[in-house]
Amino acid sequence: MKILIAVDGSKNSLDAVQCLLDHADWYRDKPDVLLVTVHLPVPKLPGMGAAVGKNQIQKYYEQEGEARLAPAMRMLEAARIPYQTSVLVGPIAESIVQHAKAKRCDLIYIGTRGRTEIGKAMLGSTATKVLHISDIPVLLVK
Amino acid sequence: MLEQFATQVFWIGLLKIIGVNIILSGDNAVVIALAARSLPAKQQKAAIVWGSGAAVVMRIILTIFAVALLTLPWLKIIGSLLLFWIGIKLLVPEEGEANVNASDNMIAAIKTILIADLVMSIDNVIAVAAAAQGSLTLLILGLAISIPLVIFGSTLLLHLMERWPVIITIGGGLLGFVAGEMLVTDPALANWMAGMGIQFNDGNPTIGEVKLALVSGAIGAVIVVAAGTWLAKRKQPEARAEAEAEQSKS
Repeated sequence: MKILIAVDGSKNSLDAVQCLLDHADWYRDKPDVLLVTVHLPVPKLPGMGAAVGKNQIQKYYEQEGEARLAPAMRMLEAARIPYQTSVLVGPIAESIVQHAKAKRCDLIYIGTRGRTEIGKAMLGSTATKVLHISDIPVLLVK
Repeated sequence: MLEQFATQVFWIGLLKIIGVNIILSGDNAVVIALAARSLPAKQQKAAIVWGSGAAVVMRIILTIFAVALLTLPWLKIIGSLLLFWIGIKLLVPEEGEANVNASDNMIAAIKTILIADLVMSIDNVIAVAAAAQGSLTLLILGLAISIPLVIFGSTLLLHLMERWPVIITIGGGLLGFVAGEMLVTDPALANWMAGMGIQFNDGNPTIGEVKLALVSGAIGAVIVVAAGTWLAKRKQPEARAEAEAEQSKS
């Protein structure tokens, strides 16, 4: 059983991780966890290339991403569940679904209350979008 | 002086300067936030303070020059065309150069911040000088607002622009507005416009009751946003193909 958990570093998004830990006995074997977070791409402004290189931007994504993953990593470690991490860059919902597909995950865990609670009321949340575009079963954690 | 604060013109002018500054300091802020990141944590603050401090001094001197220059005939037209070009370019995503290496020494980081500021603040200088319309109060206020933004808000601005890229479009529109305004207020055009039957009110060309600068500003904003988004769309398929190639690599 391969499970993708998406977090954004907010406290709310850890609910999805907690849910997996609480219900780990649902699965016959210990689940294989892919822990991911998505960073929005940096705007590409004219003249920026003169000052900031690709590897610098890459480093920025990695640093920010690792900081967002850290609390979820600690939870999984404490529960002795093996996991892999990745920091994706791109539109949030699309990147999550694409990654889950590429890695042949069986299930996507995602919290419905993330970082953008205000934005959600107006635009529809990331979780809803994941639900809409994913072919893989999605578990929404409230 | 106090009367100045009460007029609509003043507040519109101030809003314009603040808006122009937030957007146009945004690009500088992005560079500052990213350039300082490769330094050890202790030196990051020092690089940001020194880099932006020097940049601010440079910016103020350049803006004062620009204000003086813009009173000369023809220069407003040139500045306006330059702003149009910068505004459209702002909306077309640009690939970062691959050959810039992260520097882990502070002097290099400060140099990076300064060079980026020089390259990226031409738009800011012209736009602020134009939006101030000769008012020193507006100019000083506008710059005073942009300085803390660049120094303290660089990471915040970067996050805002990631989440709402429409900020950049608004910035382009604002540049187009200022450019359009500037174009019709060039003294070199005054005689020609008078010949066309356009009346002058306190030196501002007007058609009927409406200021010509507002009309041409609005047209300028539309032109920049339309041209910019069209060019960006044309460029997008390439960028997407590249991104996909990169993703399959990893």
